[in-house]
Amino acid sequence: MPDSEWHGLLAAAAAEVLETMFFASVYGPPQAGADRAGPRMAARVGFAGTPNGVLTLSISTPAMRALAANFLASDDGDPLPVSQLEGVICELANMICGALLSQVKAAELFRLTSPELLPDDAPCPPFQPHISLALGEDAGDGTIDLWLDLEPHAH
Amino acid sequence: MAFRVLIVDDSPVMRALIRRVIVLSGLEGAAFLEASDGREALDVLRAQSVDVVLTDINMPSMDGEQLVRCLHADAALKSVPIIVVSTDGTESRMRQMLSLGARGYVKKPFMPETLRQELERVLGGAYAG
Amino acid sequence: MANLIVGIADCQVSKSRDQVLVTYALGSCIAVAIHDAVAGVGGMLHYMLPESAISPAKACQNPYMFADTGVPLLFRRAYECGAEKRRLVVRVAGGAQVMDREGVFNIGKRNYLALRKILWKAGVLVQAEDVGGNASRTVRLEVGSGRFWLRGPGSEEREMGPSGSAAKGVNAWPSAS
Repeated sequence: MPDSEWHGLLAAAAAEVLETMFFASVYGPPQAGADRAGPRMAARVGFAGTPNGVLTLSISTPAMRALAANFLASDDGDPLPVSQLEGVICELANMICGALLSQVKAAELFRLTSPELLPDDAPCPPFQPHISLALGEDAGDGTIDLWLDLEPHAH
Repeated sequence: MAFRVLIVDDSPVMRALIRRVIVLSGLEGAAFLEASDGREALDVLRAQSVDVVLTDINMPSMDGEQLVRCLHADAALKSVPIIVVSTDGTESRMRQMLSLGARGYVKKPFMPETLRQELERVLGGAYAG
Repeated sequence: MANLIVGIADCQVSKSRDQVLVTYALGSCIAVAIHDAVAGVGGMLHYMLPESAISPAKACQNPYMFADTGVPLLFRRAYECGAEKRRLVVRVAGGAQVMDREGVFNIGKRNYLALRKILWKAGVLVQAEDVGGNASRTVRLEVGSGRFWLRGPGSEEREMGPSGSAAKGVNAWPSAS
């Protein structure tokens, strides 16, 4: 399957997860010149089957706080413990990856590794994300970046 | 005696979400037990009776597939209803888990109403909601 | 039975058993209908937009215009009439993808997501819904019986029960990418 098709499915999977369990409006790519400064959180999850690969996700921290509050049904005024925030971003990566692979017929009986949080100073893949999505004001107007790295022989 | 629910998932936040959905579905008096993988779940199930198990598939140590196989092979535990709650939404996985003995399947991401409906369907008359 | 019309950006709550709450032409707007059979209370909200932050002044003037101000008020008014949260049957209709005045195509979906977030945080599950698609809807709630009816353009009216699967509109909203 060509990369562009993978990336299209990835965007659709991300939108499905974000809308269904995080109640976030998802738009297309962020506008050129959109403010990307500020802290971000990142997580990745590996998968094995047909194909093998890694999904990496990076999201602005304020957006992740808003999403986590939605997921856990917590009051907007109560800050969530960091451990819960980290747990939610890992689950977000896990669900996006699963939703993606569930759409890909060849990926039947896939396995996911436990998602892991990437430390603040860990570089995300140096190249541009495969997919960037702007989130609505209900998710702090943040952005989410996704990288999908497939093992070459699996294409 | 309170309705006893065992939630098996390696994500604490997902276990919390599932617990909330079950309470909102009418089982507010339920007693909740939790496990982060299949091995812990078996320890719980061998120590106390449970009325329903909700389990993920992809978990370290022992995954959901192995858990369902073990439960189905155990005469004392095979009657406990199991609902799989997993990111794997492929037809093949759903067929596999149902053929191994799971009675229900909910694909993540899910609306809370979807999990409630599956609980109602699987638990039938035993459902308190 | 006597119709009690719920207009656009409007809310009605009733304990009169012979009343029917009706709202028409739900495009991207959403109707939230609630009913407590024990207390005999029925309520319906017809809101237009998801978040009041875009216009706090308008929200002060009419809280029913927005999901985040209208929905809590709908429930509060029902509680004041004797309804209890755990007994409430909740149905949702609308949120179609139609061109709205601002030309924002996805206002219907945003309205729906805003409602979902509010209800999830408030600990309320929906018993039935008919949302999305492109067609406008007309709905009515019988206060006496709690029965809820929905009609789309050119189609027969059908009842949406309190149980059964939450049905989405036939056509999905377009995806983000």
